Amino acid sequence: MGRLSQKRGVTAVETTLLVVFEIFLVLAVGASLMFYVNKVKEDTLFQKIHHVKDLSFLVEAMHSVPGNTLFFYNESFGFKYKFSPNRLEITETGIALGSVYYWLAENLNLNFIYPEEILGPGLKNETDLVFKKAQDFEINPSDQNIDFRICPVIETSEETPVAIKSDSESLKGFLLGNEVSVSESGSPLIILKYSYVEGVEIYMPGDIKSMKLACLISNELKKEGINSAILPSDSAELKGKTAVLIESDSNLKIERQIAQGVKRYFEWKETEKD
Amino acid sequence: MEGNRKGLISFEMIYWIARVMFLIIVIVSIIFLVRMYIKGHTDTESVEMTMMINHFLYSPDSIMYYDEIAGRPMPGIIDIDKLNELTLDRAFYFGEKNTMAAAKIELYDIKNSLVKEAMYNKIYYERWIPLAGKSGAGAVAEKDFETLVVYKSGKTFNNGIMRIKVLIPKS
Repeated sequence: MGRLSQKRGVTAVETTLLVVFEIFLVLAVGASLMFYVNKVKEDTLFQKIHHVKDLSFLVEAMHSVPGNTLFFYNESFGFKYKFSPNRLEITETGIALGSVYYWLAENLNLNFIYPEEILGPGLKNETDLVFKKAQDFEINPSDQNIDFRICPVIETSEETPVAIKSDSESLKGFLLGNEVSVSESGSPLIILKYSYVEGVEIYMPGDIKSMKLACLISNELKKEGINSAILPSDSAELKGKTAVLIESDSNLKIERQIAQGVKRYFEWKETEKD
Repeated sequence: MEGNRKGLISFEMIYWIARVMFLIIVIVSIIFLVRMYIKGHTDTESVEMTMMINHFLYSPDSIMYYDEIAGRPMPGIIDIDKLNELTLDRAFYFGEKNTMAAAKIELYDIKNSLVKEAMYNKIYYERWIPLAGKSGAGAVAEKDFETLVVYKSGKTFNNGIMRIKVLIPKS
């Protein structure tokens, strides 16, 4: 009798609701724990910490090498890298917060080139980071943190005249002054157009010789603090030739540096590296 | 009958307290197990100290002798003129305020007499040396290294012993 009277105190509805509530609670707790575990799995903090220390130690190790070095780092995870004096910062692309940084030892007695994206075939991988240490690299002493491109290594020391199409005569004058002969049917072809662009834009068809020419011209411009972008082009003017098309505003300094770049294109032998 | 219902309700409440406590224990255990495998810090002081020693010994812009005629640095040969604070600080520059590392380099001759000593990051070396080798927060990791070298003093080359002590703070 006592037991029967206890059961009457709890209705079927209440029991069912209780069970439903318990199931809901289990699902809620389970879902939140799964969400937490998933968040931990996708977290990139440790990856960034490992990466930043790895790169920092790589730079220090390169400083220790008694000679010139060029290193291709092919473990980049798609992070953004910012090399500033004595500090390397890694941020995830598209996310402003959560950057990780570590200290970099700098050697004030030599030139060290911090990486930028490399260009073109013939080099290891377009997404590699490339570090370079050189004792005899020519660099403007007033601009220590300048970034130079690493140009394709290919023999181009043949003596052929250059062909130019330019909006002014001064480029021809600078080339002749650098002892580079000019002819209408020469190779490579340099096309210089004046336009209202910020900096300089260098278009090239994509073959390795044009790439080298564009790279050397870009590096010469960089020595004077002029930024340039190298862009592929399938223009009919450039197709099938070793050629570059340069768009910039009218500027004698730019033309002078273009001539310097062309001169280096002919002087640079296969054994040398830029 | 009413007494039984009140008893039932209070039993249910006690039962719920136990359930909630058990649930909390389960949640905390899972979180604890997950966090146990998360490592956010890597102990790299040993690697850094070894790299620093290699840098002092083998970097051409540190204390290594550079042969002008051969046109190359000579690993294992120390130029005594370069063994000074200025050269060391420029060869391993961490900024104006260097709280990353400090070191002391001592050069002895083959009879174990001190020939020359130099410090890298002298200010912090003197601050950290009392904390070297201790454990716990704020302690400083140390590494001692000794090697046989040849050192150039003037125009002569002599055998010697180089002792390097590197300090890196743990925090």
